[in-house]
Amino acid sequence: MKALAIAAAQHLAARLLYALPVLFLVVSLVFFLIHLVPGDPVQQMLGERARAADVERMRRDLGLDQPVLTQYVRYLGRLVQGDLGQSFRFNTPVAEIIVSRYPATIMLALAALLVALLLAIPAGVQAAVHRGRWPDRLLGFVSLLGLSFPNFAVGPLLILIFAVEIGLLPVSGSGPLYHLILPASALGAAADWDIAIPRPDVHLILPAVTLGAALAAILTRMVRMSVLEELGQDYVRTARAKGLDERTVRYKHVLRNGLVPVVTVLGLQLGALLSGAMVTETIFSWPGIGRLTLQAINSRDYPLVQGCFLTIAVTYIVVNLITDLLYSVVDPRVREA
Amino acid sequence: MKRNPLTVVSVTILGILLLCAAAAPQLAPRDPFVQELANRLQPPSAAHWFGTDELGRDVLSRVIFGARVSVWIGFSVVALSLLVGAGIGTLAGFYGGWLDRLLNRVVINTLMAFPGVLLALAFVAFLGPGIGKLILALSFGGWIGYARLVRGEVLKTRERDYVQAAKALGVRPGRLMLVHIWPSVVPPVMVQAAIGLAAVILSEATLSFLGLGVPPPTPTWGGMLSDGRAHVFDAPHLVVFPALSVMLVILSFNFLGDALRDRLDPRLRKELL
Repeated sequence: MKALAIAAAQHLAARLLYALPVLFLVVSLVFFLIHLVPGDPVQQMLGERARAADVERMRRDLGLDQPVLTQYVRYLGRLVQGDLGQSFRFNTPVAEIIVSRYPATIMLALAALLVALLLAIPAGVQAAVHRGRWPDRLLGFVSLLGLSFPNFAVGPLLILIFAVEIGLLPVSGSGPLYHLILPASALGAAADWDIAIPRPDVHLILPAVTLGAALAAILTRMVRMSVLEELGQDYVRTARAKGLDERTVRYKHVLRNGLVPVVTVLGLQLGALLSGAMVTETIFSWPGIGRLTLQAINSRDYPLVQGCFLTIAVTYIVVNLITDLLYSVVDPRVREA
Repeated sequence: MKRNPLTVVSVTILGILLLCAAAAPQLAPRDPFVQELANRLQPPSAAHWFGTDELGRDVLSRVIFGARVSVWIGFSVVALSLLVGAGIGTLAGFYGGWLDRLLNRVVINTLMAFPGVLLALAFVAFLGPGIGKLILALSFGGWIGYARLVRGEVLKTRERDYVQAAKALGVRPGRLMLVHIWPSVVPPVMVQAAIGLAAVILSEATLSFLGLGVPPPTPTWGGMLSDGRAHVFDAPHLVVFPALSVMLVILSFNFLGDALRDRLDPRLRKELL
């Protein structure tokens, strides 16, 4: 047992060590992309009619008059001390803004994941068990439909059906109705970063379904494939011969083995979930990182953009790590290896 | 050979898509840019089959011209990604050794650590909007999937007896790769390309929806959806038609990808049906 724990810790350490150069590359890539591209954030902040002297002073204050490489070294230096800098637009430490918005995205992503798993596991198992017959074909069609329906179309559709026509669910997490109908280009104008984090209540349902639908579709297909593969194995026959009821066989024996490849897909799908969160958060004015990133991009708030991308990259790496560990929980054989 | 009706429908829809893209000016009933402010937000009618938008432009014409953007970007990105990805994947798989370690472990794995759509987003966000930039941005992350796939297939095929035999007969590496190895790499790549087209068209629509893709007034499905969102209650047709177009096209590419896979890989055919 102890040797096992050591091996796991070593594995973890190696993965963490590998993550560092990746993070460095991401940070550098985003930094140079931002700084080598035309578009002056100061001009944008002060407006077209700003006096040249004011623009010049502000550039100096923000350190933007220095050569790019100097700025880069300074940025890295501050970054290793945990300082993400000051947001141009909100005049607040970037870290503070991100910390205030991050929980909302995590909540949304977890809810979407829950929606996806609740839909995909029973659907996938049913499809596999009824392979080739109508439940399988129907579920196959529905999951392909789910895959093909862009979430920026699902969102407005759900709003139209549930919130407006039926009046069952609230439309938006934090604000009146007009928030959700703001065009994307107007997002940059919103000057509110300090939004209360929505509670995990009914407001979460529509965004979670919107974000989780595509994932549910992908997972259904995965669960089906992998359950099908397991159903043909000898141990299934043994379990049935022992007289176990079909439910136990399917959900305790088959599903546990069948979930191994599904867990991997979950990790890989996180990127899609994160970029989907941008759309979903925009549609439902959900105060998370996705919407914040778009706001930051639209207002050319360099430090905030860098902070957002860094946060997303770290999340991605950490989740992949967790996937890796989960993998060994679901499949002890991986742990041994 | 049994024909799946869904495949026939998919091919028909994609045929219409290509036709719209190729002959948009001939097919569109009106100029997609002309504004008739007196006729704004009209519901579908005989004069405007899909209604008009908030500037009084004909929605049907804009949907048809939008197909052109989707197809152009979709095929360009897949072609570019495929070219780069297949090249790198073939080299890594064929030569192995340090080249493979460099390309596969360092380059591909590093890029894989960052979600592709976000990379594209970062690119377009700072390069600014535009079709050409969008193509570059989407290809930047797009080639990785093809490279991995091709590398794996080349690795497998390289060890086959007929390839070894050809090698023993003194066939040059270039010819070995193109004539002996590539034919068996093509089928899985085709499947991936069909599904990849759907993904690219979806990404383009998503970025345009977020206001980071093709700039207005060029009609794109994502952009139309974004504009239509403001009128989702008083003029739902502005959302419905572009949303349906995106959905049908992506659904068709996905169906086609599945059908291709079934036909090209008999082992999978049994499992999927």
